[in-house]
Formats: sequence, structure tokens, C-alpha cells
Amino acid sequence: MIELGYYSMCAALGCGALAMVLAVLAYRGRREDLHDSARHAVWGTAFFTSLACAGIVYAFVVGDYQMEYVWGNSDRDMPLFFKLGALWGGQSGSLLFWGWLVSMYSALVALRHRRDGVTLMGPVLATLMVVQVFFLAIVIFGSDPFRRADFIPPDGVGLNPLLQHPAMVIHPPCLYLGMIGFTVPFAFAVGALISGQLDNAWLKKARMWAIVGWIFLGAGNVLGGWWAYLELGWGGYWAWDPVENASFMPWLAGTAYIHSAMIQERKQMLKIWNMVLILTTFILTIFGTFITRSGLISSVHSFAQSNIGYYFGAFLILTIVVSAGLLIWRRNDLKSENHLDSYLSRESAFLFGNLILLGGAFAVLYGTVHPMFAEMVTGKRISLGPPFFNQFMIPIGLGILLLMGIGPLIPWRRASWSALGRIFSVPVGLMVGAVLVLLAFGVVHSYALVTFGLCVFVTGTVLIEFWRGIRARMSAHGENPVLAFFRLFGKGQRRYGGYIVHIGVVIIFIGFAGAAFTQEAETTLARGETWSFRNYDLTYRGLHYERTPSVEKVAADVLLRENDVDVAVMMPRKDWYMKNKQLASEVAIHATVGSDLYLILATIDEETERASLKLYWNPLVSWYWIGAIVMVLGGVLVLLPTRRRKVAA
Amino acid sequence: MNTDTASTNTAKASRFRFLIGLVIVAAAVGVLVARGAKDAMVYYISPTELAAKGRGADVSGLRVKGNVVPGTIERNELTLEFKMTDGVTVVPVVYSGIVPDTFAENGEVVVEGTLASQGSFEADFLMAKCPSKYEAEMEEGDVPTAESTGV
Repeated sequence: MIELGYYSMCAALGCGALAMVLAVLAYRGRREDLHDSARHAVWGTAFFTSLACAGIVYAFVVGDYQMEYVWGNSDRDMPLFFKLGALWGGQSGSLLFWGWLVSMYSALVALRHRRDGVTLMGPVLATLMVVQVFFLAIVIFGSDPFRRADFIPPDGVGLNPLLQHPAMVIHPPCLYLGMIGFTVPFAFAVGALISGQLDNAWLKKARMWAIVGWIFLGAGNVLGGWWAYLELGWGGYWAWDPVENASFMPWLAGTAYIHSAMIQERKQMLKIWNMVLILTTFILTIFGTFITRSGLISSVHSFAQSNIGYYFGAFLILTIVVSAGLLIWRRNDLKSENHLDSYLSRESAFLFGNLILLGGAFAVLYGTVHPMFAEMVTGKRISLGPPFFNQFMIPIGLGILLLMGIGPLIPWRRASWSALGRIFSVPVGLMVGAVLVLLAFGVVHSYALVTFGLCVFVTGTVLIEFWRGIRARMSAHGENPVLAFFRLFGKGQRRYGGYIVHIGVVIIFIGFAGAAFTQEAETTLARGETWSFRNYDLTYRGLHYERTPSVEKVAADVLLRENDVDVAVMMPRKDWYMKNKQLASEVAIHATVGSDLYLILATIDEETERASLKLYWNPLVSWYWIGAIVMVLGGVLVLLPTRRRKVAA
Repeated sequence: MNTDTASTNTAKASRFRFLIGLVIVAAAVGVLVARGAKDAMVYYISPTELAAKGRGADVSGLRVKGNVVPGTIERNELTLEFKMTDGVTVVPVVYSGIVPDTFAENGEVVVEGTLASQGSFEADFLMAKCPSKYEAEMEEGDVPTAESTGV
């Protein structure tokens, strides 16, 4: 079974190369028969990569520790769930997993677009297979997960305990699905540029796949933050680390693309701009992989420095050169058919939103690579931390929030000031009212006030949009308001799903604003002592010990009372993993809609039972997670097949 | 409907509007980034460079990076004392606060704070390098040996 995995991996490389050649030949001769063969070869590649991954998983399950990858990433005590996750827990396995995801996306593209002509699909499949062959070649020649030692170790070294967490099992696949998801719209863009079929057809298909990648990438980023919040014990979920930035930059560029593609679809404008955006998004995914895998940029997550980086560097340069070359070659076919008539128009709101999103992506890029260049030039090592990123990303985020409110309501082409006054009087009134109420309650933090105000503004505009749609259905079909609301999604799920995403973003920004009010405190308590903080009383009631064959756990038992009522027992813990000789702190969190109480056990004195505790009071953190879920749901709603198509089928 | 000249003019005006928008946003983002780049930049120095600065010198905005000397870690409630080195100079560090799980003997550590008059570094920020997400305990290219696996 394990040998079979290795040979499948090699067969996948051959099959992928064959599919690439067949797709090129099919396109050159415009031959649908060869196109069929290419599609079959794509499916064959997916079959072989699946077998290869199955081989690794099997090796983990049976514990074949002679395989270096299994030895380095698991041990006998590891639960099965984590052994399955170990497939993507290390460098070489994650690269094979990446190759498998490319093959699955390619297989789905070949299936879904099987009736589309070879003129567009030939170059699309060929592009996908170039990426496929690249990843499989890296795995086989640069980082073979099937490599064996010349003797059989009795047990593996295990996975770092900090990574043994459910969030860490689902976070990487989610992130990879997002990063790789953008390969598909990239392939469509390259296919359209090569074939010259630059009408709306490629754009619509590419946009749908871009949304798939966008949902996964966003969810992956949030899951990473969730893991950090639960596991790293510093009270936050985002630290502008290069590893985080690597997946945030393509998300920003991808968001810009998804929006401006709508303008092209409707107005035949921004054709070059959209090409630039989707090519940039893909290049940023490769760049992100490059910086995180090459060890070029120092991060708190020290990635193994390896020659894998050179492969990615070469691939990055190739992608940039080919993309730029194709764009220049086709520049005359990408002329706009419509024009930007006025700054006071929906086109312009979309365009500014785009520019700000892309500006944000490049600002983050600058902050991420600046320390590396500065060190090369001056020889001094520097660091740009959260204060640096926050001071430009907060205004950028607020700018995007403002445009999210303006975009959906402002008329197309050209709006008059008097029309704007009429349209926006209600949401602006709501915003001003909300700010005044907050001021009355003593909220004086300026950024937080602006954020809350804009959140109300955006929500107001979205509600107006929903109300307009409902009223139109009520008068046209005589439906009651509730039925009309649900029927809106049946016909216009792209539009209204998009608004649900915007509501998710609003909820997320409320969570961000809450971070402005975070408080922290620390103390040392003897058994039985009570610590008062805000309206909470924390009573430390002693230590609890627990021992498993591989882990020693010690927890502090803390009774939490809020306004003199018992609300929870919090058990912040320290786990000592004997084999790894590694400590892992488990925080205790009392989460409510209003705020999280985040308790960390800092140190204990085993003799006196005195415990030192650190406490974070994090207002509105839950809104961040809830907003992310709403965003994902909205995105899925956009992708659901339309009611009309269902009836036809 | 439009004459050729008229449509060329609209196209030009449109491109001009687009460019102005681009310049405005690029300039705004550029100003925002540049404004804080200097203030937020933190330099890393080694224990040797720290010692050369001398006692009482202003070392705010500096991060000292080194490795934890084995056998020097002392914890007492919320205070942590240890010595860090770059292989040349050894500097005693006093830190109060949460110690990351990854803090360990020989491990790479980054501290931020001030150099106290008695020669010890008083840190108010401590960061220990995370273990790699990829390759938990070994560097790329390492192979299991009889010694490392206990055979």
C-alpha cells in the first residue's frame, strides 16, 4: 500500500504532464477529441494523487516509522484524528497534499466545464496542469515524503503539542483550499488571454471559482486566528506575522477582483484592471508560499530553511513574466467599451473600493518584506510589528467600510448631489444617531466611534436594499413580507448573498472595534483568595492534577462570579508533554456576546499552591467569529445554483 | 451616435479620471505607511551590542535577540530571571509577565525593555521563537539516526 503510494505519486506526475501536452495539442489543432483525452488525463492525475495521499495516511495509521515523514510527524500515543492531520503537518506531506488539492480542483474544472469548447478550455487545462506538474515535481525531486531511513525506529518523535489542536487540523486544509482555489480563476485568465476569448464567458466562470477560493481563504485565516487565540495564550487572534500576511494579501486582492469583475460583466469596463487583479492574486498566493517556505523572512513561526524556496522563487518569476507578457500582447483587445462618467457613480465607488483593497494588500506586502530588504541594505535587523500595520490598516479598513455603504445605493453612471441627499439621508441619520448615543454612554475612543458609526451606516444601506426588494415583490406578486424576503434569495442570490457577506463584515468590524477597549491584569493568589476585576470576582480554589502516559496536566480551579452570581468554573491549565519536553498552556475562556474573560495560568508553586494568573478582558471578540461565519454563509449563498436553472434541469 | 472624436475624448476623460483616482489612493496609502514606518520600526541588537551601549543608555525601541543560557532560568510567581547570550556576551534579564510556552533553555529569545543601572536588562516584552509548523523537531534534511530515536 505504501509502495503503491510512491508509484502513484510518480504516475501522477507523468499523467499530469501528459494532460498538459494533450491540452496544448487539442488547443493548437482545435480538436475536441484530444480535448476529451486531456480531460481524462486530468482525472487520471487526480486518481493517482489521491492514491499517493492514501499511501501516506495509511503509513501514519499503521505507524511505519521507517518512513522519515511518519517518524518526524507522529508517534504511537497520537490519536487517530491527529494522525490523519499529520498528512499536512510537515513540509513534504503538505506539499503532496497541495498537489492533491490542485488535482482535485482541476478534475472539478474539467468536469463542470466539459461542454465548453476547446478554444478556451484547452489553455485553461494546460495552465492548471503546469501548476500541477510543478508541485508534483517539487514533492518528488525536492521533498519526498516516502523517503525511508535504512533502519526501523521503534517510535516517532511526535507532533509539536501546540499543533495538536482541532483548529490546527482544519486550518491548513482550509487555507490551502483558498490559496489553490485562486489557481482556477488564474488559469481562466491565462486561457482567455491565450485564446483571445476575452468576452464575459471566462469572467463569469473565473469569478465563480474565485469566490470558492475566497471563502476558503477567509475561513482559513479566521481559523488560524482562532487557534492562536485558544492555544498561544497572548489574548489576541491576529499579530501581523509574515505567515498571516502571506495569506491575507491574496485575500485582499481576490476581494478586489470579485467586486470589479461585476463592473466588467455589466459595463464592459476595467478589462485590463480585472486581468491585473486576478493575475496579482495568484502571484500573491505563490509569493506567500515562497516567503513562508523559504525561510527568507523571519517570523515567530520559524520555518525550516530549505531549498524548496528556490523552486518557488523560480516559479514566482516565471508566473510574473508570463502574466506580464500575455497582458502586453493582448492589451489592444482589452479596451473598455464604456467609460467612467463621473466620480459620483456606482462604478467609481467600486473602483475606489478596489484601489483601497489593493493598496492595503501592497501596504501589507511592504511591511512584510521591508525588514528583509532593510537588513540586506543596512545589515541591521529590524521588525515592524502590529503598531505599524494597525496605523495604516485601520484607516484603510474604515475606508472600505464606508464604500461598502455607498456602493449598493449610489446610482450607476452619474448621480446628482440632490439624489445622493435623498438616498443617503436615512442611513446617515442612523449613523449620526448611533454616534451620539455612544457618546452619551461615554464612548470616546475616536476609531471605535467611527467604526461603530460606519457599521450602522452600512447596515442601514443593506436593510434599505432588502426593503426595496421585498416591497417590489410584495406589489408585483402579492406576497407577504416574510415570503418575499426568502424569495429574494431564490432569484437574486448573487446580489443578496453578497449583502449577507457585507453584514458579516460589519459584524467583524464591531469585533475589531471591541479590541480598542481590551484590559489586562495579573496577580498571584493563595488558595481560597479572591481577586476582584471590574464586576467579576475570581476565587482560586486550588490545583488539580491529572496524568496520562504522555502528559502531566495541572489546572487551577477558579470560580468566576459576575455581579455576585456564580457564572462559571474556569480551569486554566499547564500541560507538560514528557516526550517532547514541551510545555503547552491551555487558557480558560468565559465567552459571552458582550465580552470574553480570558484566563491564563502563568506559574504555580507546587509547595505553597500559590498560583499566578493573567487575565484579559476582551470585549466583543465573539463578534469576530460570528461575523466570519455569517460571511462564509453569505458566500455559499452566492454560489448556490439559481432557482431558474434548477427548474430547467 | 458619437463621432469618433467625441468618443475618443470620453475615453481620454475616463482614463484621466481613473488615473487621478489611482494616484489619490496610492498617495494616501503611501502617506499612511510612511508616516509610521520610522516610529514603529524596532531594531534588533545582540547582547554584545547592548553591553557596548553602556549602563543607563537609552535603549528604548530596541529588541535584544539571543539564546537562553542553560541552567540560568529562575521563575518566581510572575517574575522570570534568566541569562541570554549571543555566544560572546552574557546579559542577565528580568521579565515580569506571561512566559510563552516555547521559552526554553538554548531557545532563541527576543526581549524588549531597558538596561537597568546594575547591568541587568529589564524586559517588558518577551518573545520566544515558535517551533516550526513544518518539521516539528528537525531541520530539513535531517534523518532519524539510531541515537536520536533511542535504538
